[in-house]
Amino acid sequence: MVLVFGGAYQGKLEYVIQNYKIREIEIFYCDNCKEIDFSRKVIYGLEKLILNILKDLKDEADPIEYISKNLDKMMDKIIICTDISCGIVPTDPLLRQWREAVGRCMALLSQRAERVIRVFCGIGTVLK
Amino acid sequence: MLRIFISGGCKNGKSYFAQKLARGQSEGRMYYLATMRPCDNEDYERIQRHRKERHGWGFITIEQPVDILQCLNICDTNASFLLDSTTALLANEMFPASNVVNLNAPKKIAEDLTSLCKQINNIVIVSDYIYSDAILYEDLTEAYRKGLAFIDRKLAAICDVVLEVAFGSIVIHKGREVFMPFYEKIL
Repeated sequence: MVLVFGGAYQGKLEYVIQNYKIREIEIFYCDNCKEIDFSRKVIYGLEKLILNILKDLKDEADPIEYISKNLDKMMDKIIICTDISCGIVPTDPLLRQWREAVGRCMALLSQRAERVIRVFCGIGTVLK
Repeated sequence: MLRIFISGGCKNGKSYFAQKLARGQSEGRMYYLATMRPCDNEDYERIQRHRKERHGWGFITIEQPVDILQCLNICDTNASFLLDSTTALLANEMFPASNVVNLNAPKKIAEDLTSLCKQINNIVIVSDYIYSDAILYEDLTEAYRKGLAFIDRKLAAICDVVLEVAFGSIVIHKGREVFMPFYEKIL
């Protein structure tokens, strides 16, 4: 598993496409989804998936549980997630929950990942 | 003679650090490209404070809140330049007046700065890293953030050195081999 993170618009996806020779068809965009298509190689925008799960109050779904439950299926993936950890505490409770859940998921993934990369202004630094 | 791009969190010493680098690579004339466009008294006071802080450093201040390439009409291109900041430059060009938005500004500024860096090889450019908070912004703010990041990435690609300043410490993202000999000399 490779975890690639960085702030918004830092060129994370472009970095992965170039460095891992990824074709468009291999990318799963989390956009409006609450579940991951594990047939794809790259999972892009994990923070969006986490927010979508949290927004869906009906089934009280827990994004951290969803990620832990599916960890085995993620071991051969490249996961791209936006770092949202550096601002002030959001006043909106949903965004507070979101920030917390993304942090926990990233910690969990980075523990299991064989490689962790931070992208800053398009430049990747291998942290692990 | 380096093109140095600096980013990092706000209010953590980037400007002071950038001034030191610009002075360090100066062999004569030094220009400070000031980008802030004053809107009210608070801005005027801030600009006065910044000018006072720079006093004695030897910078010639050029007010260039928009159309950055115009500075080349009056400046000596062999001098040392400091541009602080792309953040203000983009705000000025993207939001030229109330209720006016120029969505083409990021592309235009990226092109201007690329051209500037081709004509000057001794420049420090400061930006702000505003990309890691957990807030869902409305479309206009998001477009501004995306635009600034676009400019940042272009500059990071063409500059010799890319630095992240974190409260006085630095992370060298690009150009360690050319930056360190220079940095050790001016420390």
